[in-house]
This record gives sequence, C-alpha cells and structure tokens, in this order.
Amino acid sequence: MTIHPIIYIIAGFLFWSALFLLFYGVQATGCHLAGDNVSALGEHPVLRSVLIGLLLLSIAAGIGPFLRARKRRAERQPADDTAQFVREVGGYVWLAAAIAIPFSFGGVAWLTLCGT
Amino acid sequence: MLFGLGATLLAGCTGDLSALDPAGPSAASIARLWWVMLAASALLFLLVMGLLFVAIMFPHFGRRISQRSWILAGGLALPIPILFALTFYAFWQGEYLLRGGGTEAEELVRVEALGTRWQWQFRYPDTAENPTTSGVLHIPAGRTVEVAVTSTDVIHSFWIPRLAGKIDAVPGHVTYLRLRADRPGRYGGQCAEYCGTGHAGMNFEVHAHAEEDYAAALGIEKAP
Amino acid sequence: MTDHHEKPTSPIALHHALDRIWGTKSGWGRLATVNHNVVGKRFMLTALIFFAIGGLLAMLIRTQLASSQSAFMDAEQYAQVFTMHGSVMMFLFAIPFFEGLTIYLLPKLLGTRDLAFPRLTAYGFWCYLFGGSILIIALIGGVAPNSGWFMYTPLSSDIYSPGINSDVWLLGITFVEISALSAAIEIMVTILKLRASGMSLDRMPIFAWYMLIVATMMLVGFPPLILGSILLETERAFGLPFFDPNRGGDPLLWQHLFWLFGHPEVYIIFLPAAGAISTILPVFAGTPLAGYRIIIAALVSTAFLSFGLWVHHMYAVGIPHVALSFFSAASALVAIPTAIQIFAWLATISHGRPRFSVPMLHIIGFFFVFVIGGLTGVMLAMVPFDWQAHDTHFVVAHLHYVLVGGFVFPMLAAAYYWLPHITGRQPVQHLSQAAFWMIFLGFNITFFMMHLTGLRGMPRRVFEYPPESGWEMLNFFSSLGSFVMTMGFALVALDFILLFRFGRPFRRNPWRAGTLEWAMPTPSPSYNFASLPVIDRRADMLDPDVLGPQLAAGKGLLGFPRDGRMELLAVDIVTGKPEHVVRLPRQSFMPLWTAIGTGFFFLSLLFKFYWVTPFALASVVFMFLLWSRDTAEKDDLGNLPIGNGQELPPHIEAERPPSWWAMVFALVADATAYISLLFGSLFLWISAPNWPPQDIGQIGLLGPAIAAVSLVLAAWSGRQASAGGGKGAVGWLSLTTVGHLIATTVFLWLALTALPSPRSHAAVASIFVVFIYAAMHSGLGAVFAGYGIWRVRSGFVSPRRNLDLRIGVLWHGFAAMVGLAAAGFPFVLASLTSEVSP
Repeated sequence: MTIHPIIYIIAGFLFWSALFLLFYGVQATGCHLAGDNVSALGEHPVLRSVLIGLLLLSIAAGIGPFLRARKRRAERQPADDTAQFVREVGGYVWLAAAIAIPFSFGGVAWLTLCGT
Repeated sequence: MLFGLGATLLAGCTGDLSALDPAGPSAASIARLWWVMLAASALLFLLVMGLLFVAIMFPHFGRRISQRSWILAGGLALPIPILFALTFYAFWQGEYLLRGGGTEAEELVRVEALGTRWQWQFRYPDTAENPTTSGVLHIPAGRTVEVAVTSTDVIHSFWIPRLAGKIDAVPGHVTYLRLRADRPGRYGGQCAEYCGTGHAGMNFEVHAHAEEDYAAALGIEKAP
Repeated sequence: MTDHHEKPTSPIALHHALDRIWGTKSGWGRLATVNHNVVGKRFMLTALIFFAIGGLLAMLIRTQLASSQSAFMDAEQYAQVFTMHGSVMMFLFAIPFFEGLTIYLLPKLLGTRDLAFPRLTAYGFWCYLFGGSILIIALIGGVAPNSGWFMYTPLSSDIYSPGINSDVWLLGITFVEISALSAAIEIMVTILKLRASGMSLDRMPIFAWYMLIVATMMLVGFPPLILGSILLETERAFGLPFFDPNRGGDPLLWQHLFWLFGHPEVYIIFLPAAGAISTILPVFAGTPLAGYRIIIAALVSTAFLSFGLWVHHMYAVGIPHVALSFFSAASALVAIPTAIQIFAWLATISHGRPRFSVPMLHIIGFFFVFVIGGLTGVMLAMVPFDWQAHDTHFVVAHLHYVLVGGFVFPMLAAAYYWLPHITGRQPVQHLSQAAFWMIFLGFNITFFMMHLTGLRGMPRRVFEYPPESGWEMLNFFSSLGSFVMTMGFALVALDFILLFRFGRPFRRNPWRAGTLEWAMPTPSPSYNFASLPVIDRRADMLDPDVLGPQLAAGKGLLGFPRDGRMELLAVDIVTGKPEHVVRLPRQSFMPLWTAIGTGFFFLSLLFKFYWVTPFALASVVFMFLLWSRDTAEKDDLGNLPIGNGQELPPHIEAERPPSWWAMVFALVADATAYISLLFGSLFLWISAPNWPPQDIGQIGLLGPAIAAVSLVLAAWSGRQASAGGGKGAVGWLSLTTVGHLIATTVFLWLALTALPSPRSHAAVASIFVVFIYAAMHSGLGAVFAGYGIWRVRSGFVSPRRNLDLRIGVLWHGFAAMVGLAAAGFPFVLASLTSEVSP
C-alpha cells in the first residue's frame, strides 16, 4: 500500500498533532485522577515518569523514520519531478516536526505538573 | 541630554497601575524580561528592515548570497537560537513566578479574593477572626502572599500591575497567584477581564503594611 | 446528441457562443447567477461595506477614549460598539473578503472556468449577506451583542445577558459561517481537482498552495466554534448547562472551543494575504519566487502549529505550567515558518530587479507593520510576559499590528494589483501614494503608542479611565492617528472610484506577470478561458502574452460549446492528468431560495418561534435535494471529446468526481464537530466543578445495541446497493432506510425517556446532545437512502452512473460511526464518573 502524496507531505506534523493531543490528554487526565494527592504546587512522580517516558519514545519515533527515509533516498531516485517534489517537501515537514517534538514537549521533564 | 531623554522615558513608565514601575520581585522580573525582549526586538526589526532597504536600493548586494542561504540563514539560523533561549528562560521564570519569587511554601501568607459584579472582596483565613474587607486588600510587605481567587458570577481577572501578573477569577474554580510587595505602600489593582457594564470601575487598592502594622490594619489583635 | 458540438470559426464567434452559456442574465436573472466572477465581486464589495461599518465603529471607540471621562457613550453602548467592531472585522470583513478574492481569482490562476460548485458559491454568498445583515440590523436596533467578540460565558449566558443580544451573535455568526465552510470545501475541491491539464502538484501557482492549506484549516477550525455556538445557544434557549459551573458545566469549555477556532483563525486570515504577496512580489522583483518548496513546507508547519497554540489566550485561567509549556512552545515555533516566508521574499527581491509601484509600496508597509506584530507576538507567547500584558491595550496593539499588517496592507497591494484585471483599466495614480502614507502613518500613530498604554496598565474594553492614570495623552494621540488613517482609507475609496471612471484601458498583462489569470481578456469574460490551457512548467513562469491569444483562438482543450452546458476539466490530484469532463449545473434561483429557507431557520430560533424551526429545516433539506435534478442524466453519455483528439467520460460516470470529494471533506468537518463534542464532555469530567453528577439515568444495553446493529446493517446494505448499481439497488436501499429509521427512533426515544432532565447536569446534557446528533445523522441517512430509491426508480442510476449511491455510501458509513460512538458514549461517561470519587 502506498501513501497518498498529500498525506506523505503532511505526515510529520500529523504525527506531532497526535502527540500533542496525547501529552495534553495524559497530563490533564493524570492530574485529575491524582485528585487530592497533589497540592497547589504539587508533584506527582508517577505521572511525571509516564510523561518523560512518552517524551523519549516520541523523540525516537520522530528521528527514526527521518533517518530511514534519508537512507532510502540515497539509494533510489524518484520516478519523476512530482514524486521528487513530494519527497522533498515531505522531508522538510518531517524534519521540522522532529525538531519541534523535544521543544514542544520537553517541559514535562521539569515544569510544575499539576495545580498552579 | 541622553540622560534627560532616559529620565523622560522612565517617567513615562511610572503610574499607579504601570507594569513597568514594579514594586515586587514578580513584577520586577517580568519588567526585566520586557526590556530585554524590547531591545532584542528592536535589533531584529532594524535588521529585517535594513535588509529590505538594501535589497531594494542596491539590487547587486544580495545576489552574491544564494537564495537558499538567504532562507536558511534568516528563516532558521537567526530565529531558532533566539527562540529556544527565550522560551527556555521564560519557562524558568514561570516557575520562579509560580513560587512568588522563590520562597518556601510554608512562609506564605494566605488571602482570598472574591470577584463579584463589580467589586472585589477579600478574606484573611490565616487570622483567627478572618475579617472581610471590600475594595482594599491588606498584605504584609516583604512576605510572599498567596491569593486564592474566585468569582461568584462571571469571569473577572485579578491584577495588581506593580506587583505581579494577572490571574482570572473563574466561577467554579479557585486559582492561585503568589506575589510580594517589597515595601509598605499603596498599589492599584483592577479587573482585567471584561465583566459587564461596571468593568471599568471594578478597581481596588492594595495596602502593603510593615509586618508590625499588619494586624492593626485588619482591625484585629495581633496573632500570638 | 451529446457528441454534437461544432467548433466556432473565429475567436469572436467562440466568445459569443460561450458567453451565451456562462454569462449572467439581465434583470431578475442577476439573482440567479452562480458565476464565480460575479459572486466573487459581490463577496468583496459586501465585505468592503462591512469594513466601512466596522471602521465607523472604530471611530466611535477612538472618540470615546480620546479623553478619560468621556460622556460620548455610556458603558452599554460602548460594549455593543467594541463587540461589534471585533465581530464585524473578523467575521464579516476579513474572512469574506479573502473568500471573495479567492472565488474571483482561483479558477483563473488554476486555468479553469469556474469553481467546483457554482451554486454553492452563490448559496454561501446569500448566507453571508443575510447573516451579516442580521447583526447590522441588531446594531441599528440597539440590541447588538455586547459581551466582547469572543463571547465569554457566563457573561454571555442567559443569566447575565438575558436579552436577545447574545443570540444575535451566536445565530448570526453561525449563519455566516455556513458560507465559510462551504467556501472551504469548494476551494479544496477546486484546487485538488479542477486544475489545468498538466498542472501537477509541483507546478501549482503558489497562491493555490496557500489557499489549499487555508481552506483545510477552515474545514477543521470552524466546526469547534459552530459546535460551541450551538451548545451555548441550547444553554441560553433550553437550559442545557454546558457552561454553568453550578450544574457541572464549565466556562472554560467555551474558551477552549472558541480559541481552538480563534487562533487558527488568525493564520486563516494571514495566509491568504501572504499568498497574495508571494504572487505579487516576484512580479515586481522581476524573478520567480525563491524557495517554492520550502515555503510549502513552512505553510504545512504553520497550519498544524496554529492548532496547537490556542491556550496562549488562556495563560491566566489557571492551567498547570506544564500544559502551558506545550502551547507556549508551539506559539514560539510558529514564528519560524513565518520567518522563512519573510526571508524567502527578501531573497526574491535581492535576486531580482525591483520595480517601484503602488502595490510594492503597500508590500513595504506590510513588512514594516507585520514584523513589529510578529515580534510582539513572540513576546506574548512567553507565559510570564503575557501574565502582565494579557487583556491590556498591549494586546490590542499587537493584534492590530498583526491583522492590519498581515491582512489589510497585503490586501491593499492585492487590490491595486488586481483591480486592473477586474476593471480592464490601469490606475491614474495621483491619490494612491498620499493614501498609502496617510494609512501607514495614521496606523502607526494609533497603535504604536498603544503598546505603552497597555504596559502602563490600561485594560481592554474600559469605556472610561481615571484622569490621574497617565493614559490620557497616549490615548489622545491614538485617537488623532486613527482619524488620519480613516482619511487615508477614504482616499483609497476615492482612488478606486477614479480608477473605475477614468483609468486607462490596456491590452493585456500590464504588470508583466507569469500567471494564468492574465492570459485572458480584461475585464475577464464570464467563462475565463475560451479554451483550457495545457501546462508544462510551474504556473507562475508562463507567458500570458503568448498563451492568451492561443487560448482565445480555441487552441486549448474544450474550446467549443456543447449541449449548452458549462463544461470544464477535472484532473488527477497529483499528476494533473485530465480525468473527466465536469458538466456544471445551469444558473438557478435555487441557491437564493435555499438561503432564504436557511434564513427562516435561523430567524425562527432567534425569535423563539420554535414551531417554525422543523418546517424551515425540512424545506432546506428538500430544496438541497432538488438541486440535484439539474445534473442528472437519464442515459450513459460515454466518453466525450475534449479537443486535440482526446476523449474523457463525464463526471457522473467517473470514479471520484468533485462531488465525491466534497462529501468526504464535509464529513471531515462534521467529524471535527462531533469529536469536539465528545472531547468537550470528557473535558467537563476533568475540569468542571460539581462532578460527578447525581444521576445519569438508566440507559440499559438493549437500546444502544439495537441502534448499533441496525446502523451497521444500514451502512452495509448501502454499500451493497452501490456495488450492484442496477435494479437490486432498490431492495438494498430499502433495507438501509429501515436501518436508519430504527436507529433514529431508538436514539430519540433514549434521549427523551431514558435520561433524567438534561437541564439537571452537564453530563446528562452531553449524552442528550450526543444522542440527538446521532439521531439527526441517521434521520438524514434515511432521507438520502429514500432519495436514492427515487433516483434508481426514475432511471437516473446505471452501473456506470451510480455516483449518487456512492456518495450515499460515504454518508451511511459515517452515520454508522457516529451512531456507534453515541451508543457507547454513555457507558464511557458512566464508568469515568463512578470510578472517580476519591
């Protein structure tokens, strides 16, 4: 099964969006379930470990396909101009998303988790 | 002459409600961030406009640099380090502000602020009498105060520009703001979120007292 | 019959033959026109009238604030004025104006004759006009919305805004948004399917890339606001407590839904303007746009990032710092793709030979103003600074720098650039320069000082302020500047009138551009191109001076009239290879009547004549079904010649014609609204006070199970009907109808009998609305299946012409998914609420 070229172009940030929902969802749900166990400036080690684990996984998932695509690109020439265009733009987008992932979600490692 | 200009500019920043005339660590820290960002922005603005001017006026100037280099240098190499450094600093500062300027939690003085249309009421749960004041918030100077803010009707926003940033008063929720006044004095406060026709008049005053005057100002016996 | 076409002998004869088919009729016939040339201009003109109204309101604001204790307006009048200023400028000027420009330009840039769904264009225009008029009439009547343009609850709820004011906003704006959504679908399908032959993805004009991305953002960005507006209206009208903290609702839910729309909205407004710059600037630089591919990647990044930063309007509501950091980081990141575009433009200029002209002057104005707005935007993205600057005049200054810099200046450049195309005349240029300088200086005087006003503590939306605050002098200067700016805009209006009246006519391509819209006579003929171009390179490096006469002489594709039908070509999405011939419907009054029906629907809700509502709704559905009469064919047409010896099938015999894609995109928007509803309910579980609810009723397993089974059956039999295509279809479609009807009945019965009063708690209200949502989808599914039976019986369907059934398949499948989610939803909510009571 081949991926539709338009999906290929946006794939990087589609992945980033899914992660965004995941991180925000896990953080909010986690803080809610923690309930009274966290105070106003509270800390919740379990939730923080889960989020940091997610962060490491998503950084790896961001870099992995990019490197693989690079390798494949070195091996094979695209069929025509349009295919080459789709591959190039999709590559830029994926690279941008891979850089955006640690920057967007790195805060889970050290910022106040629940409460204000 | 430069000194005179600087003095005028600084005088232009003062005021009872001016965020640029800080009187506590939180507001001072944010004001510092503002001046740094202003200086950096001015430089970036001059750079971009300068490049535009040169590119238009001297068509041969920019041609030696390839189009790709223009884009990579200006679109990535220039903004990325600045944005990363700024964002990281802002996160660190956010943590500092959430702790009201870096104090330990047990030293907090707790007060409660209640926004109603269109006035602010304050209570003092740390005192035995727990009095209510309306339109005037009494705090001890030099101590970190945790204000628990809520509302009974619509959304308001609790803001003392010279002491700290704002926090919304949302019905059904309690939000917290930690702040400190360095010196005794009077500071203006106001509602920042539009809350109906009385919004413009929904002001209050903060009276910061020396530690020894605080209890008297609340009209109660000093706590043992 | 259908193969009967004669090639007219001369370009003039071809012009007359095509114009008879495409041209607008005179007299009352004008109301029936669906042509994108006419409707695009109507959109823009209407938007400019609303811009004038919004500008007038701004003048009132500046008059009020020029002194500290002004007696000019009281607090209530002022509230209506600032609310309407924001709402008019955002919803009735900015979005419709670029929609109008796009409707006018897009088919020309793509090398085709019209948009994919001309009647939908016209319907969208009428919805916009009627919805906008409701707001303006309310303003004149003194009952305009008065809670600020983002309508925060509970201030806009029935307790604190008991009058009709908030309803006017919720219903009027939703009415207008129908036009935004229909435009979004139409623009997407047009760009993906209706390009010139040979225009592969990598050859599209850059404006098409911008608009493809903007339209996609609109498709996903508007549904959350529409959903929020519906929920708030149900709270106001029927007491369903989605935003009432006393009954398990949460005012913050409104803020999330609003800004989930509201922040992408800023980029939805900026990107079309940036697209105009990317089209115009290379022409005046005399060299093609630099970094075409990097810009496209930047646009994609902007589009996604802009959906991940809505909470930067909510830093002060008490969200944990970690969550704020996601949004703050995305807000900072989104500056990078914008920087890439700015430096791509600088690279273009620096590698060309820039010419000076009025459009270029406005582009320089854009650089100056927008860069400042972008820099203050980065400042506001930083959480600590925003805690001080939020809700002050600093934000007012910032947003005007972004929106005026990022939209009004580029649009002025675009107006000076494309007005010769619309009028066939070039400007005289006596007033243009003076007008620019008055707007530019007036704008900066007004808004530059406002940054300081805000930092010195002046909140937004105050109608008076203490004289001792020290804000008076700053405000006075702002008011002064705003009057200079207004005079500048008046001068622009005069300049345009003079251009229409005294401009010099020209032959072709006055700016020496390389895009297709100049490869036609100006003012443009109703059909754009007498024959359709074939593209062999990037579509901003063409030579209109050579191409234009060739196309006019009929040397391209489809250079002949056939059957008196409006025809154009659809291509493969990726390669741009021609796929089929699209035979557009004829001009019709139906869009107008349907919009009037839609208007009755909204008015019945506004004035609480709820007994009219079902009839109005039914009439709208019925009229939409009537639309399809015009494109139906009783016989298979087979392949049609398109010129140059090629033949292609008509769209109703093609596999994935524009209407199939339109249904896909419509379902994406629908799904976004539904997912927002489900997630909104889960958000209430997490955030709202007064949870868990006392009682969410006894739904039982039987009802949901019956609904689920019958919906799966309906979807499956709908698919069987389309696979067969012939006579067996009636049986399968009957089964589909029955399945949908059972599901509709079950969901309605559950909603009305198995639940406690939906007024009692937001959790119950959520389940209630989810059931109603599912019931409406199944109900419509039954209507569509019944309609399919009628189409089959009437002979409009054959194995080759089964498009109606395949579009139906999409709906039946989607309705089944909606229903399955609805059937499971109460159990999810119940398990969450019972488990969490620490």
